Amino acid sequence: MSKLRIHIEKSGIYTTVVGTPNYDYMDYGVPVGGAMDQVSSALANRIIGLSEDTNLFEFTLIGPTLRFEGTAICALSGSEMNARLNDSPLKRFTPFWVQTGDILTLGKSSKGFRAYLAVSAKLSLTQKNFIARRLDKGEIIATSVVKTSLQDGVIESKLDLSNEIELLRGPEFTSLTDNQIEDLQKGSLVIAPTSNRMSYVFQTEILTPPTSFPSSAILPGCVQITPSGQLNVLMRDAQTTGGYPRIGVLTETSINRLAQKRPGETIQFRFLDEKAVTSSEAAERE
Amino acid sequence: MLDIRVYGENALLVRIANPDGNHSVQSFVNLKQKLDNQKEHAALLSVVPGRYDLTIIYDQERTNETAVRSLIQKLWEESGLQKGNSRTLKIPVCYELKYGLDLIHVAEEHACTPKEIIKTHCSSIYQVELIGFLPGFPYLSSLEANLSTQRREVPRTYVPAGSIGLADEMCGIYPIDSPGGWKIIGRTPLKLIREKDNPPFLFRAGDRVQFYAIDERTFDLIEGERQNDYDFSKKHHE
Repeated sequence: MSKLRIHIEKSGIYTTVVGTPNYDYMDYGVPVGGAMDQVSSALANRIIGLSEDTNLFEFTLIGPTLRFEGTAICALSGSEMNARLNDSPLKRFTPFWVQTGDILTLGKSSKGFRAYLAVSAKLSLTQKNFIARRLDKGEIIATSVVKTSLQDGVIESKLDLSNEIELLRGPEFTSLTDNQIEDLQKGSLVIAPTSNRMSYVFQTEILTPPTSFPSSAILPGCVQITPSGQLNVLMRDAQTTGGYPRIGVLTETSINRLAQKRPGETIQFRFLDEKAVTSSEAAERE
Repeated sequence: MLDIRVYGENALLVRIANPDGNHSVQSFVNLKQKLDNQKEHAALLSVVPGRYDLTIIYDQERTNETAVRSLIQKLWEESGLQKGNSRTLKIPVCYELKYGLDLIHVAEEHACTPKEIIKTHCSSIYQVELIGFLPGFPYLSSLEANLSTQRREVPRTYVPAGSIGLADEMCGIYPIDSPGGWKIIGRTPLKLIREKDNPPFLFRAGDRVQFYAIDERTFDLIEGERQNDYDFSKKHHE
């Protein structure tokens, strides 16, 4: 099997190797992890004939510069980072070959926030203490190439850029009043600069009484509210348990959608149905 | 009575209506073990304990809410009030001030001496209620120990791995170096992350824990050991 070495010449803002969410040790406190935008990561892999859950690179806002030793086939998806292979511009969603000496340069995201690079090679997850960590300048990824078969025809694709974030009622939905629920869905909310792979943060004026709520599992997509009105939308690397009221849970589609939003952008929340109403609550109403 | 509610697109949250603390922990330990045994077969992704609940996450492509709901109900009815199997782990702790960074403050908070805090901490059986915050970080509770302690006003930016902390009515152990706000009363030389084991963590939900005091020399001795075949069922050199 032929070898491939990928040199990180410039690291970009947050370059890491991710895969598909892994629940094996969630009950031991390990975040499920995985590509923030699972739709885009699956697509990049599919374009070069790999299984959708294959590990691949994730770039955030500004991508890295990579130098290749060896030959492999690659594809980009997700945000538009104005990629160039040596001097030639590269199109997203289109397979391309890399050879020894080739330099892949990624710029700043113009549409979307996170880009993915699938490579026909066995990439190991970049982790520290079971959680994704960023690759640094100077690191070298040594791996071996895998065989792939390119699919015929062009894979049609468009990045989901809607700013509507849909959620189901969370277990502590009832800690909000009807007015607060209305307020939450009325205005648009700005993504705070502290947002990352662990959580997306929003400041609201929705104040809730402080509660001592016992720790319970949090899923990616959970929307927690703190007494001061801060909303945390927990993402793929969030800790697995928490003690703030969980007022909602994003749909998987909306988690992927939010992962393509950057700090400063605005989004709008919309509660879907009443699916999360319990049988006991329904009984009480009767 | 179980209260099972929908939690997101592919999970169910299970609570016991009218829980009394200990009863629910023990029954949930049991229910979790039963669900874990069926994980593959029933297409469950994870069964995650909270303090008073269990979250069951399932693979939407292979099963559905109705099937998971009835599995939970069935397993609960079969064995609801039986106690789960729990191991008891004996955990050495060095309470010297070098490691027990907040021991004196904790003693002041409880209007007693550090010795009395150590005695209380060592004389009761703790149980791992859940694991969270950090990979492998156990949240321990005890029915006997009354060591309810406030968190530090300013969290530490660095708490070394192995540190034993108190916060509210819980006791926790830091598996890795981390920032943290729990008040630190000692440190164990045992490694909580165990790369060669599967799962690679010392504690699991439901484990019972008994702490015992060791001196600095023993701390260094255990810390220097390979710990691969460490026998947690007895005290060091017992």
